[in-house]
Amino acid sequence: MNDPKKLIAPHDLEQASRQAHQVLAELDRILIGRPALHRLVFIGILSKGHILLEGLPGVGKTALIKTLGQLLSLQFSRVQFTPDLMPGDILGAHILQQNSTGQREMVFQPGPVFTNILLADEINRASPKTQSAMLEAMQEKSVTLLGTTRRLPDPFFVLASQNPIELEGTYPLPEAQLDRFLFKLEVGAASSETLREIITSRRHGEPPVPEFSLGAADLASLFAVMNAIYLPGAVADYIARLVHATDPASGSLPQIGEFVHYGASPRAAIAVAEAARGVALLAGRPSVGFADVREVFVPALNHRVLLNYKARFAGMTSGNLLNILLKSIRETDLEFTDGVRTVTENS
Amino acid sequence: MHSGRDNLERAAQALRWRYGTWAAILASLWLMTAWNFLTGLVFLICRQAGLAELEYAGFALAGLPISLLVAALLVRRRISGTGDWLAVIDSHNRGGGLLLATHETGDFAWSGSFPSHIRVPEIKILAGRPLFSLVLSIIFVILCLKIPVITGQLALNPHLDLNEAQQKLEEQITALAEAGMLAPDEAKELQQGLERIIEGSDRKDPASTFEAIDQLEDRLKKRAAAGVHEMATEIDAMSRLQSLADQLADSARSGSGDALPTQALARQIASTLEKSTAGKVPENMQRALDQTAAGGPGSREAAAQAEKELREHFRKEAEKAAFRAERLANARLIDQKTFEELAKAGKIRPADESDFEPGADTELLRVPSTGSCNQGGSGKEGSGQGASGQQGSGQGSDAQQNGTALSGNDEGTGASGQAGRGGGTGPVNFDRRSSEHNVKFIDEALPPPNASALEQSVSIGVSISAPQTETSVSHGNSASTVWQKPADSSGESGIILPKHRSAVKKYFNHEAP
Repeated sequence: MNDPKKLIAPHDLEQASRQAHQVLAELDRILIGRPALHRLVFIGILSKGHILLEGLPGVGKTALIKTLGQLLSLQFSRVQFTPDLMPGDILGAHILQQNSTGQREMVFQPGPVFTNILLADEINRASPKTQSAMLEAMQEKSVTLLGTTRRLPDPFFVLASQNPIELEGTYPLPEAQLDRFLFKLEVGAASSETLREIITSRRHGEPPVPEFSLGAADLASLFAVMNAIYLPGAVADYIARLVHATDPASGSLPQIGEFVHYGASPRAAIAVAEAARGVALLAGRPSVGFADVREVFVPALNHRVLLNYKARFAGMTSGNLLNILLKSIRETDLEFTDGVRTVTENS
Repeated sequence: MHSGRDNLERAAQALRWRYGTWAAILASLWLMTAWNFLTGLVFLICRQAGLAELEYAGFALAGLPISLLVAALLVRRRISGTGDWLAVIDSHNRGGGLLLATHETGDFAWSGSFPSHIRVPEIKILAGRPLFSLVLSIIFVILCLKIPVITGQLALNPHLDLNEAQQKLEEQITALAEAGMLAPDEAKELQQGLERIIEGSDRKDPASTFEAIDQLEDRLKKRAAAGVHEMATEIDAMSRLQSLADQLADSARSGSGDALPTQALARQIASTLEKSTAGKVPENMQRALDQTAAGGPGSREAAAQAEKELREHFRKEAEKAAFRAERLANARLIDQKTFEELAKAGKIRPADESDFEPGADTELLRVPSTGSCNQGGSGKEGSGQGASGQQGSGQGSDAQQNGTALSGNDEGTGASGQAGRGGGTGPVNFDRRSSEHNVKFIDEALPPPNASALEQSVSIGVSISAPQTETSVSHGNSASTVWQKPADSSGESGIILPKHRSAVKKYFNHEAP
């Protein structure tokens, strides 16, 4: 299945795609009105990436993450980040215990990070010290305490949320930590139809109990199919050109040179490629296409492109810039001769 | 599986061929532009350097296949991979990377998911810039081929370009020789002199060359003028002879008993004819004249025969004169107007007042000259003051004198009554001296002073009446204008002083406190 010179068998892919769509359908049934958000979150899960959800209180961030944990039959922990939260409160700590022989020893008591899905609620309220304690856990998927490195359970996802208002007493996430999130998704307000449906079908706001859950073996199978999704060279080149174009020194666009302080890192290119594989899996295709890249490009990069003060004055957001970039960078680079172009449907 | 692979390769090949063709055409436009600029510059340098004039059209046409070939090679070298074309096709067909993945892995298990009809994208050409550059290069080439050559000929050919002048002078020399106005030896000598002038020409010093050419041209024109004058003189002589021949015919026809007048006429004709033809009188005519002059029986028939022979002689001479005049006119040695007059009347047109007008193109002009004139048969000399052609009669002449004088000084040959100018028949002088050093300007009678323009006059006063012009003898020819004495009510005459003079005087005479 993982032979790089062979495409995944249609039957395997069809089964994986059907399971993924079942999860999405159940998620959409439980949480009303956000299919696009659910799709991206699930793509992030398939890509084994961490996701940062940004939205106002009460829009369903925590509910989404909890439901996802239930659907995937994964262990779920929740940490409410506060300014006085210490790293040990998350990672765990060694405590002195007396064993059965009467001897005292330091025993490691794992923190809430030792789980499959960690809900880091209002992550920007924790101090930088506590936030940085998450760095190793998110990237290396391990925790090192007192010289001992402990692996986190596989899979391990951090689904963090942050509140864009009430910024007093908060600590914005540093760029290094932001870069570790696969997606940064904005959870907007629900529409009136969605609200009406919520208040008529949910008593006390309790979501319905999931009727379907994915087993661990099924989830492992999904991850295996994800690995077998083929990334063609031309598509990889497209991703590389897109990510490189976010560098202000690349000279790709005048707006990039004017508004961008730092462009996206190579980790961003990896994130786009992985997320595009997830899109292809949902589409039931064995290969990543150009359209898959375009779908995940903005959520994967909007928190990785650091804008300067001019962008703030001009009201330019990273999302807007990335959309401009998507329109200007051609999917195929066949400009062998100046003045001759292929007229494709997306050009 | 194979059909899917074939479809992919066909689509990629079609797109590649389509793109490559247009890219090659576009690249060839750029190459043609570069070729034009390069060859245009090379041609410009070659022309300015005075190298042999090369045929540009051949080079330009040679550039077309070369440009196309080079462009095709360049494009072929740059667009060789099939994967790139499949990427375009995949993107165009929304293939989701399936076409690319299939091509790259060679796994056609998913070929059933290919689009039913793989569409090949169109090619868009942006040829504005290359076409504009090509047009610019063509304009540059035209300029390079049309820019006058200045430096090259100067550098490599120090001689002046005198082809036209040389051709004209050679033609004139030939015309004079054919008209019998120039001896063959003299014609040869003039021809050699002309060649020396051409060979000795120098771009750095063109004045002496043009001076020599002017002198040679003057000499030829003078020779032509002299020849024409002689021709006119001969025609006049022929006219007199014709008159005598008519009298001879009348006398012979009248049949009166007195044969003396007939004999005298025959002797006079023979004498005149001998002078005009320099002794080359036709034998039949001479015999008939002699027989008539001798008298006796048969003199009447001889007179008739002489008259007939004379008329035939006149006709031949007139034809010969017409041929010579035409030859001279063609060689531009005499002006066309003169030639027409000559052809019409058999004589040279006498100059009139219009020839003295500025811009008159006639070359044969009459000037007030005191040149001596030959009196024809009388041999007496008279002062031909104002030799006036047909209407000018020489004093002391017993025969009507028709003469033509040429512009110039009075150094002409007195025997022919011609007033020549310049160096005459002397050798061509190559020094820097001007050929006009001895020219006499035409006298012009100035108008009387009172006819001069009013704008040249100076206002000396104001009057209410018109100025009077005095024509009294005491003022001579210079009529002066006086002002009428003003009446009491009229304006003041004399010098008008400024009204503020007293104020100015007072200011300057003011003593400082």
